[in-house]
Amino acid sequence: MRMRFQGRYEDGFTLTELMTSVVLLAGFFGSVFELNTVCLRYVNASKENVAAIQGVQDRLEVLRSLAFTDLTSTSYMTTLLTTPSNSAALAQRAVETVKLSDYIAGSPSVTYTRAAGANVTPTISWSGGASFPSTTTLLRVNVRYDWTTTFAGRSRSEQTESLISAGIKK
Amino acid sequence: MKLRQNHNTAGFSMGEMVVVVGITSALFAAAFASSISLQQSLAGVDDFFSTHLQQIRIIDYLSRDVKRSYSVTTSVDKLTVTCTIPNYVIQAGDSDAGVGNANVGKRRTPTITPTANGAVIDYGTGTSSVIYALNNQTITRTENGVLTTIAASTDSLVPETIDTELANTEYTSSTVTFMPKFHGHGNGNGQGQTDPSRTGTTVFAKAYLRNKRRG
Repeated sequence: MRMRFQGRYEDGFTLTELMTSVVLLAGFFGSVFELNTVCLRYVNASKENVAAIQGVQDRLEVLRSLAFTDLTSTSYMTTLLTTPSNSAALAQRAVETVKLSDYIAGSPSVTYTRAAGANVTPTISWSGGASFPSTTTLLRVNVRYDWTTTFAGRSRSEQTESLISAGIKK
Repeated sequence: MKLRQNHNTAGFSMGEMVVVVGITSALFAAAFASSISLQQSLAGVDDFFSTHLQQIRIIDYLSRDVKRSYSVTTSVDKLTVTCTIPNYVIQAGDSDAGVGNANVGKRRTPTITPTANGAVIDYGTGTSSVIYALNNQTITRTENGVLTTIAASTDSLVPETIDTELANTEYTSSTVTFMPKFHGHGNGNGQGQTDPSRTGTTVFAKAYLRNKRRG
């Protein structure tokens, strides 16, 4: 007996066709969700940028309010810089650099580098001397954050600068 | 004449149609759902950025007033901040306004008295009171009774400020948080102050009172 409709249902997709369509679909959905992921990472990067801006501003705010003798004291500054500038998570992730230099001469200058961490003793590097002379009454203060972003692991930095004078300020 | 038999009547069986419709529906449902999710996600990101800017604006306002204050007090719940600010500028009716209000609009020169605990700065006249408060969803700033709305949103922005007074200086530490549109932790309604989704949005700021600065 000959089978009726023999061979009729043998038409279908080949493995290659199926694989192609699956790959195309996967590529489409993958790219769509990757786009979404990038958006969320931008949020993270934005949070880090704001935290960095606030971090350097907060540090400068503290330095600005110090007695000038404390600002020029290596031991006082070392103790002060042991703790991060504020409670933000980035303040503990970033490498913080504070540079004080005589204004206008630019020398001597001292650079405190605080490595990432919650409680870190900064390293000290002097240039053009080992302390500020008593004639120094005006300092240029530069505060800088360096960190690696969660967004693509890029290196970022943020800094602010100001002049701080000795004497009674208002 | 012999009629020609039509051989083109072959079609899909019910089973094939059901399978195809099922798969197609699933694909469309997935595409539709992901499209909606993406739109919500992008709206959430957009909302996050705009609320982030509001946080910065609130911090900016608060810091400006704190920096020019004589003194600052905060409530126990940290939600109300009262700044006492000297009247820096001479106004009409002030004792030092001069003949014909000639000095109106000019900046006052303070007397600065050095003490063991830093300088005491006195502008010599009355003070203005600036109060920051959170009322429902609205953050308000009231200066001498004049109310300004700093932020009003459904993002549940919450500013909290702690005032620290030392022997020779005074500063405030402030945080502003909000509840992002997407949150997956906490107490369910997302309103708790310790909700991880909220704490993840915290912006910190520190401001020292310029009139209480060490020399």
